[in-house]
Amino acid sequence: MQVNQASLLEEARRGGEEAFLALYSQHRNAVFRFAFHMTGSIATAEDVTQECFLAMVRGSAFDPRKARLQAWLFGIARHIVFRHLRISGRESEELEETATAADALDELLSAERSEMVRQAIASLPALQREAIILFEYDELSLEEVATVTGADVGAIKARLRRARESLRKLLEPLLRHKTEGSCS
Amino acid sequence: MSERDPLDELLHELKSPEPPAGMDQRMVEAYRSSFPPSNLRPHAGWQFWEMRVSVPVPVLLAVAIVVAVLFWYRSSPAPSAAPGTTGIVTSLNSTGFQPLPNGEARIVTVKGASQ
Repeated sequence: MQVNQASLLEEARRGGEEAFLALYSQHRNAVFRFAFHMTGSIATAEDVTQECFLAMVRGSAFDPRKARLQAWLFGIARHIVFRHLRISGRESEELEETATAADALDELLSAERSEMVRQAIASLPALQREAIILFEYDELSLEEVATVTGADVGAIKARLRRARESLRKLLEPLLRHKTEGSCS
Repeated sequence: MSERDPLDELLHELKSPEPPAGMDQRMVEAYRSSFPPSNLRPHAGWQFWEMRVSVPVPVLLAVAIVVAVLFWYRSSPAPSAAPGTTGIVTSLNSTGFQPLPNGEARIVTVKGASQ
């Protein structure tokens, strides 16, 4: 599977559009979702996705023995996301952008609970946010998250623990309601 | 068994927006601008003309020195016999061959060989 993806990547790097589209359609949703939850902006997430796939075909060699292609792509996407976050400025500005994006996303997000979870995740510090997104939503293993982020597994565990503590506080009303609902 | 954390359930209620319409088309256009479509490229021998070889600088220097030394060695004139001296030949004719005592050499001049 990985070897197949590696050969598709080689073909895409030689200008094989079909090979490129096969890889793109397979991974675009995961990369877009990651970029969106990291930046809180659909437009920025699209920019990140586009840059990520172009970097994939222009960039360094991918070794399927070392990582899954998806994890390797998240590594590229992460690099671009943090560059965008640096350009967009401080974390507080980022939260303002999130709030603005939330207004535009009302039609897309069907549930209020989903929106509250999204806002809670968006309010996390960037390193905790990426750890929770990669681990919980993109289902990368702890080792893969560590590889993508360039941190060790212990640091990732600590980030996840802090992220979950923060989310538990932020989502306290929803959690209480859920617990009461299940008890009654 | 451990009870399921309600936070996990709540986290998985998160919905992500779909990528915007037109993103795929913009992506394909960006790819095409970076990589010309493969059907525009001549297939036969294309890869041969695009092949690259990376050589470490020390190896390149060593090869250059060897080539320079060989060139210098080849281009220098071969030593010729001084004019007026008689040439020395080695007789390949085995007629009348007589082994010499071990280690002893006998020089036969051109004049001696023709006799």
